[in-house]
Amino acid sequence: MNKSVLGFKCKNCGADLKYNPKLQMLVCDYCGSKYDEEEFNKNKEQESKEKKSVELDEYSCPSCGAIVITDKNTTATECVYCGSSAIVKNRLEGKFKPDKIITFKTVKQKAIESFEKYVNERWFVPDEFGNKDNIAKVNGVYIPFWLFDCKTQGELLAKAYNTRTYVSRGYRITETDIFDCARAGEMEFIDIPVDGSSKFPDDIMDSIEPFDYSEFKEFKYSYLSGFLSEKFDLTSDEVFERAKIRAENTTLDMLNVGFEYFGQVQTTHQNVLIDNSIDVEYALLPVWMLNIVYKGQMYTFAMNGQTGKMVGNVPIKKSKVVSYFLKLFSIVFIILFIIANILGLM
Amino acid sequence: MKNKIIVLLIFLTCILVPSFSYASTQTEERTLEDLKVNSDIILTDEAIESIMQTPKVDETEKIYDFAELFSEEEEKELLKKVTKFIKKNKMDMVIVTIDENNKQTAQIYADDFYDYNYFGIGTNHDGILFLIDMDTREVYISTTGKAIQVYTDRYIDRMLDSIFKKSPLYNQLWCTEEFIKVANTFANIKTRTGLGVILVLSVFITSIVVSIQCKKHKTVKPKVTGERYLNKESFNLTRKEDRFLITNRSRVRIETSGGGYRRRWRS
Repeated sequence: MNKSVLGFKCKNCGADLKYNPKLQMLVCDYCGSKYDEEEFNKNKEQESKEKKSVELDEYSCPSCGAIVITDKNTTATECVYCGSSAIVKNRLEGKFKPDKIITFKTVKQKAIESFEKYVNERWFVPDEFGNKDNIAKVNGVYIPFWLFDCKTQGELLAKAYNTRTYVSRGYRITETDIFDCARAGEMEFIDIPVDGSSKFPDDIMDSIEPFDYSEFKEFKYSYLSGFLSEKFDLTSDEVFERAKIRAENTTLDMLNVGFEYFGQVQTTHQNVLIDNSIDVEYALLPVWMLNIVYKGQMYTFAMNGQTGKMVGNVPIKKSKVVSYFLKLFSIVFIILFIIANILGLM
Repeated sequence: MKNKIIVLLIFLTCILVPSFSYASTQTEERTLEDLKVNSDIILTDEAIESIMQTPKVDETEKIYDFAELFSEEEEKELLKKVTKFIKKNKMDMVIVTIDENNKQTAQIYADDFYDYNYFGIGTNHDGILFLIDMDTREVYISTTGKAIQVYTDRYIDRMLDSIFKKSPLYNQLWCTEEFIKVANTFANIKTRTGLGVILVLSVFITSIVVSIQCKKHKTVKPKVTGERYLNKESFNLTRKEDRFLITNRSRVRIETSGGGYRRRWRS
């Protein structure tokens, strides 16, 4: 299997170029040259055709020539010897070529700062957990996502009850009106995202939503420079079930209208049909991945590379929970005691 | 004849001497120009009539033995206990005995007596009054302000149970002392209950805050809905029917139960 490796080199000094999310341009860290990616790509793609190296799960670094082993799904990486960015181009061709991409808006330093802020805001985090020393790895990764468009038709049947009670001639009388309710409707969903990589936990990828789709761009190789990238290893058919569940649940939620007039509603039947005309797009979305090693255990945090939203489970120190509980309890007790005395309740 | 006179003198001495030792309760005169009531009393014609029928007393005395059931010594002892109660519980206490009720009921007498004199502590006139009405043969407990919350119906029932362990007809002093004792106990129970409630509430509030903070440690959750990706303009509700089926009706007889602050004894 042939693999093409693209390295984006500065035309002035030959150093490795990186995509700068803030400037939205390719920037040389050494001589400061900046390149518009469209202009650069025209020349670069021609050059890259000439520089091809052929490996199965390894590539030859275009900068230093070292052989670098990559994961079979890695599409953009950096050389472990010289740190050059490299894009395994043929892993991004054909069906693996993304339809669109949202580029990084945040930089690595911002991801680290956000992580520290995120951790420090948690009351019960172990003191040493947020130390920079524990940050094992911070990588900007373009994650492969499938975006599903689908139409749904839903039906919901329910029994609704309205109860009133009143007193008459020494009796408490309860009257319950019973109604048969039916709801049906159709709707359309656009771009439900499901990650197409088995490497990344689904719940973390769900949690970093939403992405602002108005900033989707046409895919270009240059956007990957300076970041890691993966290609999908789960097909759209394999992951569609997750998008389907979300569409079905929301369809039923939308049909839950006009029930506010009833005291109690009991669903007796519900059904959602997904239209066959499902449209799928393949996109790369930017995520900062942080791995924290604490007491021998790995904690994964992710930050939306576009919006800066940070997610991840922070460990809880039990002694801190007890300490906070006692402090807070004392404060609340004193406040309530004073209030009760002022109001004359004691 | 001489013996008969001696027996009669002894009898009169037995009857009259004790009555001389009883403490007297001073009352002041009210006039229509000076009703001598709290300024927050709404003066309707009916209220003015009631005020005029209510004795105006010196509010510092606390023991108003119109029925002359207690000796001076007994009154002093009662006053000590009542003063202690007032200081400890920050609410007023008034003891009244009458042998002639010029009002319709013991309840009206007790309420009017408390309201139309300057009794009570604070703006809500917090306090409790204990009335022994020898005329209607009723004991009545009237509460005002904070005392209403402290002495709930349930507590007053229990207080009356304690008082009525002995007949108020023959044991007025014991009954009054028992009233002061039980009123003290329940006032303390209320404080203890208040502390208990604050304790439980504090634990509850703290637990909620701590559990919310614990939840903030876990932000990773799988998404199960997709409302963000719904094209709202595409939503078309094709069917919305609410069809009335039937009305179910059930009835339950209401059990009535008695209660109140008043209790009558038999002679």
